[in-house]
Amino acid sequence: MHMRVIKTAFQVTVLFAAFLLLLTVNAGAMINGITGTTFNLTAKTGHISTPDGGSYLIWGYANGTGLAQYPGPTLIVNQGALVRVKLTNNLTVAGGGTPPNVSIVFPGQQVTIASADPGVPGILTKEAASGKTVTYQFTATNPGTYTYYSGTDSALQIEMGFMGTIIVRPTKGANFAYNHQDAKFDRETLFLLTEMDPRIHQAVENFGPAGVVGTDYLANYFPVLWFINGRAAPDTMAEPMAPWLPYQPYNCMPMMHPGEKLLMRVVGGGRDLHPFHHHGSHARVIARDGQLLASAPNTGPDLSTEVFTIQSQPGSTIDAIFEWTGKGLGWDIYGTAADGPEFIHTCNDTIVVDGFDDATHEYCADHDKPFPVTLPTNQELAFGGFYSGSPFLGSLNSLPPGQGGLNPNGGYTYMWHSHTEKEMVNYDIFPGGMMTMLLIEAPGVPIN
Amino acid sequence: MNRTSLLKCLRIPVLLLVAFFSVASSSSALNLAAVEGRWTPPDSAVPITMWGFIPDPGSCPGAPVAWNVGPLQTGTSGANLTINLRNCLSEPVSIVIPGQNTILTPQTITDGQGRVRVRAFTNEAAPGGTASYTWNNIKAGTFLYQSGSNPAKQVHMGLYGSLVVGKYSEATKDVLLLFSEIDPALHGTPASATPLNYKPKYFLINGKAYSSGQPIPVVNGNTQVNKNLLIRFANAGLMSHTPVLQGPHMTIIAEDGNRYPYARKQYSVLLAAGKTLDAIWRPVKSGTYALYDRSLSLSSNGAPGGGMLVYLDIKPFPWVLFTAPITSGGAIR
Amino acid sequence: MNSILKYSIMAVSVGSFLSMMSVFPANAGVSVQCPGDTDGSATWTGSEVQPPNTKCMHLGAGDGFITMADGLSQYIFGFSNLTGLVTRPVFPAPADDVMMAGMLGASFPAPPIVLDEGDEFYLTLTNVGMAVRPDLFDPHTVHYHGFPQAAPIFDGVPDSSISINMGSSLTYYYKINDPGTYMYHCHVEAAEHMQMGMVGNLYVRPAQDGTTKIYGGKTYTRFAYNDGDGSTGYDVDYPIQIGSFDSAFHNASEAVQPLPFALMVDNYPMLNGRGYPDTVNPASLPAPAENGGKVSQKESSLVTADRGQRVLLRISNLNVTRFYTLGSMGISMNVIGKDAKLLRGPDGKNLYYKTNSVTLGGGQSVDAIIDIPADAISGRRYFLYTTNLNYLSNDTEPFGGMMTEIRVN
Ligand SMILES: [Cu+2]
Ligand SMILES: [Cu+2]
Repeated sequence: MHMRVIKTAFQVTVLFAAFLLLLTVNAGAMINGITGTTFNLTAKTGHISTPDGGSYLIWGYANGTGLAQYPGPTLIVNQGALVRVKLTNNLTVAGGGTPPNVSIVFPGQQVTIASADPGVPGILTKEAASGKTVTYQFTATNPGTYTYYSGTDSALQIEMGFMGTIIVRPTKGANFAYNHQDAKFDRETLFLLTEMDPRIHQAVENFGPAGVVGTDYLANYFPVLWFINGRAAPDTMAEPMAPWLPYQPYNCMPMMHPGEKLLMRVVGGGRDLHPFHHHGSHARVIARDGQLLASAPNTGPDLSTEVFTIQSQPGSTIDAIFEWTGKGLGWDIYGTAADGPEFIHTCNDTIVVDGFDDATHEYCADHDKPFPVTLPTNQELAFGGFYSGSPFLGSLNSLPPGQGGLNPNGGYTYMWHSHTEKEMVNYDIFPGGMMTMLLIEAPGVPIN
Repeated sequence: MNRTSLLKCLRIPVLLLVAFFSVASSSSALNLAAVEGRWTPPDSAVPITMWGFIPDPGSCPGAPVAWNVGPLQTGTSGANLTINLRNCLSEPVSIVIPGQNTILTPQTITDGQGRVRVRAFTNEAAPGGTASYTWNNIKAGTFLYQSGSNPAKQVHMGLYGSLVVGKYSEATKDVLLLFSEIDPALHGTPASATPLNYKPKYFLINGKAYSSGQPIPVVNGNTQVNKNLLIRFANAGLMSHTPVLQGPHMTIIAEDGNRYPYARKQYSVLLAAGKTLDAIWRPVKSGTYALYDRSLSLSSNGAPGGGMLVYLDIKPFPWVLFTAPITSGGAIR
Repeated sequence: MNSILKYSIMAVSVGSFLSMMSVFPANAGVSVQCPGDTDGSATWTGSEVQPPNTKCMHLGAGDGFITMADGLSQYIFGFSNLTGLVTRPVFPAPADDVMMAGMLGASFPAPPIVLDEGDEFYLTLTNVGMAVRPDLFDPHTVHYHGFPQAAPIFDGVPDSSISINMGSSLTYYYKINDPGTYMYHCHVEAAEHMQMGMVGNLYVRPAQDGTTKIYGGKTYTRFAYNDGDGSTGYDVDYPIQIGSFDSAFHNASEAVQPLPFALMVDNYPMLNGRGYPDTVNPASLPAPAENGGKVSQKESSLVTADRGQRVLLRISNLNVTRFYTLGSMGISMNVIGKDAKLLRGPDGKNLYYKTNSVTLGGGQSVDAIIDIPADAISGRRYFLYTTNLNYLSNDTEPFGGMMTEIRVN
């Protein structure tokens, strides 16, 4: 249904995004966030925008005097650090009522309250009253992926946007997820998954938090918007800190080369389950809720298993390592001499004898095997915006005017998305919502 | 929740357990009655019609009882369990225990096209009648018992309770947390829940829906710091929930009465509809810990706050008569 | 919400406008590619020689009708099995009319794809068009969901590669290296095409099949995975695909009315494309009148086994709106695989676990083995049913929905 209009809308925005990505430094290698040991967060209102032109009130944690963020700042700390999170309540609400208290809970952390900013008692933790501050502190004892979110009126406040990610980097190094060799990665991407029921946001925008009282929105929840790292596709693929998304600074653009390890940090930021399907290959789930899946200390992730869809549960975190080489496809992903002289290449498995080329990670057993079928003529095909025109990695071929164009280096692209497909839409536009693309660039093509 | 069943939910110190078990092993016939009840929501004086299991009073009550989740049943691992059911409702009722293997005696109807449909998973007590159920060689763990007749209708009406069989060597103390939901719109005239009509508004733990502004339900079970506590989760609701123990990690050891080959350390756990889970937690600091549904069934009849939230009270060691407020170790106070 | 609505209406009108502008492919053609097959039937007949380890299949993508368990007729998009139709006859023999065979031939779920480890699989997809929706010119694809180390050209995601237009064929090639329970679906406008029915079972049997292993005192020759010890040995296996439909969405599609994807709410829960009690009908359901009498619901979910037998359930979920929990009543399941992987750690630690229910979102799969007790008498019944008990109905009709029976022979 209306395939073409989608392609057009998708293409324009993403083309812009892809163009900017090329200019952006270091967007894909490490996760965007703020580092340190003391974080000054401020609870504020803001407005997010969705690719279909929507604008919605959010409540977000801001970094100091910055804008409210959806989701809150990703706090990146080192293992063993004493972390202080100072939360100041600058929330304002419609309807002239007193702004509600705000707070943060840190599942998996042993939190104490600083005596200087004790806050006021709440149901799940100490809270900051309007205009006041509360300071939480904890020692980041264990490495891993964690989440933080509002402990005050959580059904409403998490929905409004009070949630975020904490990454604790292990002592072993920043390219390890945990203190074990099997938790090493080359690149990492955050996938914080949320959904939104605009009725709640409109009620709060018009009447303040009292606007949801007397409705059944919190019980009979019906989201129609879905996000990764606070953005709905195709904005997920735009540059981080895009000036046109001031309240949604984080993107989600996984990129890698064949043979590299991509760490997926998947956080259930909302209240729904999401089946996050990562096309391309299985991923090995090595940790949950910041705990390595190990049968004993120092065994490494010996209880890990591989999945093709990550079941993200609300409030939980999953760490998974994704790898791709194209092993066993039965044809040469770089083409053969029969495809043209420019496809002639070698596969050298001599230094590290593992079945793969030492430099490119090509699977040598498939080397020089011909492409197995004849593709239909261009007139018989519809082309995706990310199609390079060629089935071979790193190669481009001409496409009819207006087709393709989003994949200038001929990389392989894979859709990573909620497999509850109604969640990968922007209302009636598919694809959108909880979706992004993995870009695997050919060896030698620089990423960032 | 009335006092008796609250006490039962909290379980019992070691000395009492020993006595309990010696009784249970000699005879494990349990007698229940399915009755009409009334449940008064926290925000309203208007009671909601419920169906529930109560200890069999020997004859049908003359008036609707105060509804609660069914009484906690206990059984002995490896023994046979018999439940005798008296049906005081106007339609057939049965009892199934989804996690225990058994021989079922399905009851069927034939529809207008001649297709045979199972309307009850096993044999039923007719209105005013009785029925008896036996499970042989029952396995240890935490279980739900619930109606096996028209489950789309009778379970959400309130015909459920918990069964605890045996105990784990790791923990002498335990607490039971039975999650469930109520959609009042389907109770005035008891109706089947369907894909589109089921919209629960009350979210309960152990039969109690916390409502904002009211005291938060406390589950303490005389649990001490530095001792293993077994948390038994059960979900009689039709939707999944995600309990989070705020602060510490738990170790999930079993589901549906089946031990995992390797336990899993998590602060949150998916508690699917009809699922039971067992978790071990060793608190290192005394105080009050919150446990709540991260699927955010944290509202009560639409009002924010409330819903599926309890406090776990961990006593210091040695016991003292009161717990001084401690704001550490992940505890709330 | 108002502004969104306006936007959606605008999108629809622009979409239709662009559809009308599109040019129908000039040299469209049905073309089956299958090594050793000369008449384009995706089979080997007469003097044709099947190369070793080669399998072929020809699927049509189009529309059709099915009958829900409460009697409602439902318009669907779907796949039809065109394997065996001669598309490249030797003159003067006529070609079979693939387009006529595929027209309104969609089945639900899609024809099952059963493969063996080591196969080279050539799958030709022919887009036969939507007879009920001549206004649509949607291309289609096959996404082999879960296939490890996939390349975009054969992954079926239209945005990443190519999809096939009406009247033409695209042949996918898969080298089958990894046993397990997968699934397949069209990935074009996936929220819509999958809701409309373009989903099916797909699984790969392991190389260990045909060898003999003794496990638990019993001898097995069929296994879910290459377990090395026979622990995934089974006597009978059943694919069970969880699904559900939003009848309002299907009705709107049939009536050419827009219904936003985000507003889908499924009211017909199913297993293998049927609600209970049709799930336990061992035969195909009668053909609906609306599609000209083509049988469109061939997959039963009735599980039958002898006493003492081991039953492998290949459970997958391809609904597009929510998670479902599938429970077993009276008997427990032993989960031995997930997402087409044997449930073992990287150093071989056995992570199989027993349970009475599994919870799957769309795109997840679980392999579970049920041991029928050795003393079970003939006629004994167990149940597979959703513990989301409000899904035990066919829309509002009670005693239906996502449930089937396990019967002891
Ligand atoms: Cu399609
Ligand atoms: Cu898929």
